Amino acid sequence: MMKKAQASLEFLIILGIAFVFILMLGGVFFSFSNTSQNSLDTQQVEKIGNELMTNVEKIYFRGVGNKIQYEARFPEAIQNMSIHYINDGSKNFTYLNVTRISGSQISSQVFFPRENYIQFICNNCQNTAPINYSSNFTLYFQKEDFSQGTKTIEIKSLQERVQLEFIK
Amino acid sequence: MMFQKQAKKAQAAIEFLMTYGWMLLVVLIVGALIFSFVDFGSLIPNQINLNNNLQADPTRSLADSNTQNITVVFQYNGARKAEINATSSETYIQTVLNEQCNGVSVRNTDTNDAPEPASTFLNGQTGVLKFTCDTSGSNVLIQGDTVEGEISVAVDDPQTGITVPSTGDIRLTIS
Repeated sequence: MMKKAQASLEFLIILGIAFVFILMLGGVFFSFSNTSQNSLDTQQVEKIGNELMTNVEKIYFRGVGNKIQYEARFPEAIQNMSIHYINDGSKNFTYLNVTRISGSQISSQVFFPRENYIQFICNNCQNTAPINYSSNFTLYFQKEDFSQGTKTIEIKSLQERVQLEFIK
Repeated sequence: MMFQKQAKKAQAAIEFLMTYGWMLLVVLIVGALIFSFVDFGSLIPNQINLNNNLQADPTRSLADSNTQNITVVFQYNGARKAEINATSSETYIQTVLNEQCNGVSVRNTDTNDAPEPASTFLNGQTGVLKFTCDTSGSNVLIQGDTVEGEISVAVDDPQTGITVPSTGDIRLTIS
C-alpha cells in the first residue's frame, strides 16, 4: 500500500514539473509567434510597395501604351491603401501610403518612386475631391483590392502618368 | 446494491482528491508564481522590427545599463536618398512601462562620418542610431532586464520635404 502511494506521489511530482515547463514553453512560443507574424507582415507590405514602385518606374520609362500585369500576395490587417498626389506649387509628386494594424498600433508604410516626376494614379479608386492636377488630392483603393490574398495588379503607361489597377 | 457501488466510487474519488489534491494546488500555485515573477521576454532573442525601408540588426544593437544608452544598428534600403534625423521629436523609443528614450545622434558607418544629429543615407548604407534613456536620475535600463516597446525613427526625404517615420517594435536584453 505504501509503495503504491509513493509511486503515485512521484508520478504526480514529475507530472507537475512537466506541466510547469509546458506552461513556460507555451508562454515563450506565444509571445515569439506574435512578434514574428507582425514582422513578416511588415516585410510583405514592404515587398509589395517596393515591387510596385519598381514596376511603375519601368512602365513610365517604356512609354505610352506599355503595360505589365503581375501578382502580389497581400497580408491581413491592411486598413487602407491610398495614392497621394501633392502639388503645392513648388513641388509636385505622388506617393503610395499603406496603413496597417501592427500589434496595438496603426503603422503607415510610404513608398515613393525614384524621382518626383514619375507620377502614378489609379483606376477604380475613390477620391474625396475632384481630380485636379494643379492641387493636392488623394485616391483610395477599394477594400477588396487590398484584402488578404493574391491579387493581380496591372500597371499601364498613360500620356504623363502611370495608372495602377487591380484586376478582378 | 446499486447505491452501495456508487457510494464506494464516490468515496474513492474523495479519498483520491484528499490525498493528492494538495499536490495539484502546489503545482497551480507554483505555476502562477512563475507566470507572475518570471520575465519570459528574456528567453526570446532580441528583435527590432522597423518599416519604411529601414532594417535593424538586433544582434548588433545594444541596450547598456551603465550608460543608459540604446544603440540601434540599421541598414537603409530605400531607393531615394534619405536623411535620418536623430534629434527629431519623431525619433524615440517608448517602452511598455511608458518610459521614453530620445534619439541623440546618428552615424553613417559607410562614410565613416562622426555621430551627428542628422545624417544622409543612400540605398544599402548602414548606420548607428543612439538613444538616451537617462530620465532625471532614475535608471530606465536595468541589467538583466529586457527593454520592450515601440521604436520610431524620423526619415526625411530631401526631394519632397516629407518626413516619414519608420516605426516598429523593439525588444533588447539589457547588458
